[in-house]
Amino acid sequence: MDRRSSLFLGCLVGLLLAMTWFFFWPDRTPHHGRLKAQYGFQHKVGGLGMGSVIVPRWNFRDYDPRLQPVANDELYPLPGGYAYSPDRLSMVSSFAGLAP
Amino acid sequence: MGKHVNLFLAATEAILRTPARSGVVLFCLLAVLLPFVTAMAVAEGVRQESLVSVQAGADLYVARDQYGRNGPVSLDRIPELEKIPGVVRVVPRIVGRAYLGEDLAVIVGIDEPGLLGGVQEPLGFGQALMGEELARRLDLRVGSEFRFFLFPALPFTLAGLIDPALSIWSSRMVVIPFQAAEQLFKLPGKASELLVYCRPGTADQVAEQLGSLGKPWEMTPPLRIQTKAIVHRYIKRGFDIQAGTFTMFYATAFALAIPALLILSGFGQGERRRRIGIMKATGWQTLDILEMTVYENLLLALTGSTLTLALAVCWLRVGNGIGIAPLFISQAGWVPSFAVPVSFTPLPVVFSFLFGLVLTMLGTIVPTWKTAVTPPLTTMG
Repeated sequence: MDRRSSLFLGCLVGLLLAMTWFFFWPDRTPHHGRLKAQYGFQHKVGGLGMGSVIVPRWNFRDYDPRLQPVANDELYPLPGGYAYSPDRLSMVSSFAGLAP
Repeated sequence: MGKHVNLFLAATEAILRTPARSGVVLFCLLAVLLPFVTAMAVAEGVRQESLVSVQAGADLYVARDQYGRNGPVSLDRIPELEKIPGVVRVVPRIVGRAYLGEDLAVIVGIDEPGLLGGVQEPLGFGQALMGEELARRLDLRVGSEFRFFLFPALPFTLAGLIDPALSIWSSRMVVIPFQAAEQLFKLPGKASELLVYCRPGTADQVAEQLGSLGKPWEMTPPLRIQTKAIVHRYIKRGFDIQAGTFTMFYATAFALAIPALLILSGFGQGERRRRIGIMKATGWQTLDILEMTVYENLLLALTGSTLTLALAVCWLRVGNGIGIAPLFISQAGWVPSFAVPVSFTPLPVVFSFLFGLVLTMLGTIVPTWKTAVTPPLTTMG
């Protein structure tokens, strides 16, 4: 095995070890304090916010379906048509089809 | 065993001997997998913050059912609700939205909203707490006065700023006392919902009793009650891997990536054919060549998936999702002013590895076999 191959395999093993450490190291949550603060904040406001939307532009469902189970943008301008809400075009969450 | 190790080492050398081909394949794998792994990490991060929102929230959310939508509920119902066995307390809350200048803000009206923005006393009637991002956009500082477009006669003073690390939903939030929110939205005596806190294990019974309040012939719209179990179901469905527009678009991108990578796998095929011809001429068996190709693909897929994770971690954890956050979180800026919630799980990385392996195998195994069974003189020529 030449030097380049050893270097390549060494780097790959290093990356794999780093990945394993990243996923399985038991104390990999340095944000414990932040989590506690998040609980405190949500407790104060009574639990608010669920979707990946910062502010509800067209409807509240994408922001927090507890506030509004029905998305008005599904009712107009074309009933049953495409999801017109700009919030829904950049989301990693979707609360469509929830039972009201 | 020694033979397999030697084939594995030969595969490593083969990857390094054709750096252009290996580089192009790795680049394509990264281009396809990096958005997927980052999106899954952000989705998981937001999901975890949602769980905090649900776990720290009320046991029951009560609103009026108005034409199938949530409507305001009268504060007169609070004493009636408090009498139900199992109920610890009932807190009215108003959540609405209003314009502040040209910026849309989420208005939260709750009782005693102090101690959020480092404020040590309960807020007074005209005082407000505001998300840092919104305050920065409006150029407001602690002590500044502002008015809502909805009710310009009602002035508010900024008493504190809400730390953007607390939640992604707080960045454009304005928290004011409940009575002030009643005035602002001009609906005195009403709350957008009542938050009901119950003794452990009694929430379902309380919800049942709430559902049977009032007489069927009374001309009052029924109450809409959501338990924590229902809200947990929202999270499960809302963050399902098939949910979200991103996933829909991304499935298309994946599908398009397959033929693109198949073509790219043939990059440098001429040199590869010659090399296989030489190997056959020097006594290599077809199976040995195929095994070496499998090792090559295994190494490329492994390198691709680990590099994808490393880049995703750097981009999201170190770079806070600069340039990618608004693709996943609506209304986040290209340089997010809050800590983008991120959580990496092994599953997307395993999926990336398998995806890379399948793609590279599809692109190389059949051409390699075809070349290996061709007389060496033809392939070397």
